[in-house]
Amino acid sequence: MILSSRDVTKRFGGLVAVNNLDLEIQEHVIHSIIGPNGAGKTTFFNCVTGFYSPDEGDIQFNNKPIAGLSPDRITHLGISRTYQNIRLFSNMTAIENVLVGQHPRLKTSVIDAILHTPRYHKEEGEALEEANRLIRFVGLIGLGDQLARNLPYGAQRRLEIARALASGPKLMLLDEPTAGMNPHETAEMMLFIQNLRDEVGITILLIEHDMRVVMGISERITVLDYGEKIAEGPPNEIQRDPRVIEAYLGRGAASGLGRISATAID
Amino acid sequence: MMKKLLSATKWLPKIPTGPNSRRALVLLAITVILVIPLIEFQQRAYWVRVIGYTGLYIILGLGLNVVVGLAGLLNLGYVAFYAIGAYTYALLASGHFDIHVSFWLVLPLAALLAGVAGILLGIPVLRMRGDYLAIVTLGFGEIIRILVTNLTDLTNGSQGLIGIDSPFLLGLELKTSTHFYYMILIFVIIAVFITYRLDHSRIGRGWIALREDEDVAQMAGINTTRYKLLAFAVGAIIGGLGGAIFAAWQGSIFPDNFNLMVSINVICLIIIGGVGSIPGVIIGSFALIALPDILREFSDYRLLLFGLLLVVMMIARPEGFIPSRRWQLELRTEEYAHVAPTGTAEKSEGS
Amino acid sequence: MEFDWSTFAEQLINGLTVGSFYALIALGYSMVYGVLTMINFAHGEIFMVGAYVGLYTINRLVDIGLYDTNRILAVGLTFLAGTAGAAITGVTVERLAYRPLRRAARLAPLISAIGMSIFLQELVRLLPKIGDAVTGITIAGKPIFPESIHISVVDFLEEFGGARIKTYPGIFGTGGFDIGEIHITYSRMIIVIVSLATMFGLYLLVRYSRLGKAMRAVAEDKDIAALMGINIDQVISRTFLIGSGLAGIAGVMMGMFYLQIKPTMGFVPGIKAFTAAVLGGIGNIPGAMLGGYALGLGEIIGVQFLPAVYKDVVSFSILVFILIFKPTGILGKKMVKKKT
Repeated sequence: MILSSRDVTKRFGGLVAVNNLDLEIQEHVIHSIIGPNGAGKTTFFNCVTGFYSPDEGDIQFNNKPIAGLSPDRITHLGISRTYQNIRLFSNMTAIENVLVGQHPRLKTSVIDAILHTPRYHKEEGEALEEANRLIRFVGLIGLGDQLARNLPYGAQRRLEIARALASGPKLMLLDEPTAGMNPHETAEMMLFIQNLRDEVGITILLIEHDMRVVMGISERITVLDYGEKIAEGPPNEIQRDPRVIEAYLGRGAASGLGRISATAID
Repeated sequence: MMKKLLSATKWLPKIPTGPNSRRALVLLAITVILVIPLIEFQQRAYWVRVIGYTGLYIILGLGLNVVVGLAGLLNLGYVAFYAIGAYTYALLASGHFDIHVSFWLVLPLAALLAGVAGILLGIPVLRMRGDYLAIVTLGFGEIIRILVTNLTDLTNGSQGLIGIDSPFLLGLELKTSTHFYYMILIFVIIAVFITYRLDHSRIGRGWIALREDEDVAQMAGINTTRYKLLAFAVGAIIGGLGGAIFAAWQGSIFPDNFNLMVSINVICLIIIGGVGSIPGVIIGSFALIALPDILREFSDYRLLLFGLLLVVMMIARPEGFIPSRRWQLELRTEEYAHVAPTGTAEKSEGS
Repeated sequence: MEFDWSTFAEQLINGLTVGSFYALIALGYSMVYGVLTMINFAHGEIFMVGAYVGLYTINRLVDIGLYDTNRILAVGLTFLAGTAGAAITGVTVERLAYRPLRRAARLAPLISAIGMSIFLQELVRLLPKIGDAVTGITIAGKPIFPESIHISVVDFLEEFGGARIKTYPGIFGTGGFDIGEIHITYSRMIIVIVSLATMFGLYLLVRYSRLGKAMRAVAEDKDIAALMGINIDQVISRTFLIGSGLAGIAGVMMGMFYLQIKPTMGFVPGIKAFTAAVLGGIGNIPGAMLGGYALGLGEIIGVQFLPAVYKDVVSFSILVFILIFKPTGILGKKMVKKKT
């Protein structure tokens, strides 16, 4: 079990965004968190990554408590993330973005940097090689020197993943990685995420609204509503769970739920 | 780096802009700077003093550039570190307490004290942004100045400290302006070297990321606290060194040498010369420090023009005359949409 | 030790007097910050301009004798002129130096404001000199302007500015009255009364007038206010007008009370008033008044215990302290957490 949260609660003033959430993520799986808008998914992510401190409860990563640690500490421990609205360093090139992502793995000091010691040269050389490798891995060959903000949308998403990979994480939190993508790109992303798990051995925690993606690649799904867990299990169970269907239908049309039924029928 | 200096000359009007003439111009300027104190001509002493003084401001500008241009933290009280460096040397090498420590031993101490002060200033302001940061740093600078003026037992107050020892190098007493001219020149080169190397390293990248999006930088694993403090410390150390040299050169210092105007001068020359860029700081110093001094009739209007220039520059050209490519991009998002910064970082393959 | 009530009361009044200045200037800072989320660094200089315009006016009134025949009218006109001068300056500064930068990076308006502050101070200081240089231009040794014009321009500008310290005529005199053992000078009384009256007027304006409501709307959310049909530019201009006018009143009063004015007079009061505004919660109008009086009283009390030279350190330290520990101030408005 790579990540576990127990009784995690986060409040904002009078609003309880996450309410007594118990969650266990097993290693090497793709685990999705779904739920209507405002269900607390991103807030939970933010608690895991250290952006927020949970008001109650604790979170353990590889049996080490991490609730309340600063985000950079948590990244050093092996967790990284992408963002719902892409947050790249827009005025840096793609390669530079990835290089920054490697930060936890680089060790050279101020003195090394000023004096260009052999250690500095070696590390920078390796970092550059690794950055290039990651750029190739996410399919951005030839775009390394492009400014992040000039890249097309799909490329930006992939760059963000490359940057998240650069720190060498064991657990990656992906926040709506297929938002704004067409079906072709979405299918590619699905394969890519599975590849991450299979070849790189990373555990993936996913927030998604696109049910094809969720049902297609997740091994386990947790459903949140109003900050609480209302269902958990493998895709086929979740599809049929009446509470899940009610949560979505109760919130209105555009929730992709139609697709759940369609997939079930298919 | 040479490329940067060459591109700098692009902005000089009415000069043929072919790359060869630019290179020639830069080489000429460098030669003149290197050689001027050695040529006998009537105004020599004056020019040596002016350029030396400009050199001090270049050192200060490079130091502040690390804080403002790289890490993006606006510090309006930079003169405080200059003062700390100057007073450290003055107190340890003059008749005031009758201690006479060697200049070369005081230098690292001055750097250390200034660096510590930089960190002390940095800690409380870690969470501040923009306007508030500016005001607090300004307040800090003023507090230092008032303390220095009023702790008369320690600093001799507004009477200042006189009779500061000259440094000795290999038996030679350094006391003429020419001596200090070359010392300043060497320190300028050292400061340029240090800031350049830092800029193009993972530390520089960390600072840029910090400036772009602090939260994401933190998530990428950058300890933002450490990096901000590092920026403050490096800037402060450079400022402190400049102060020690200033004290040694002038032989006497007074609290009024360290007033708000110095901080504002340094900020101005960075902003007008070009934020974040080393050639910008150099050109900015010459334009704002040397030039008004030379144009004697206008030196009284210098501040008036500074003020006007700041306003005009912000509206017309906020990145300064010779900006670093990156700031140019940041401040002019629409216009430069398809240009990648050149020479700033590593090139990737296959592009 | 017997507690000296009369001295305490007199110091209290001193504190209120000083506090009045800070409060009036602080209001300008807060109002502008409210609508623009920007610290108007040049505000202290606008205060200074008010003092100078006031001085020019009152000197002219002395010349034509109105000062002696109808002192009250003369003082009133002086206030009017100083306020108007400051107000116009403030609006012009906004128009020229801040409005073009409204969508720019966060640092740009700040630096522009610093530039404006320096520019205004130097402009007032150098005014006669500039006039001298311009009208005394010679081409090949021969002056362009006739000497008479040269001299009159310089004299005229000499009245408006210049590096020397200038002095207001002693309007209030040193007279006062007593309540029991407490001596209250007329000057202090007038300052406090005028200030409170002005601030009350401002309160009415902000609370009940259309402009006041518009100002509050813009301060709350500029974009939505615009969508609701409020003319943002106009509201901002008027905010500057009023805020600067208040500073102008303070400037004239400063001249009348302390008698001496110089081009650099705006810097320290400006910073202190800013401290007061932050103390009360920047962007918050009652807070600015509260902060102003609190700072004034604090300073007067502090001077009882510390050597007088440290007075300014007290203010700076309070400023640094608040910004570090409670940036939202006493009556804090939400601090806008913007990216730099």
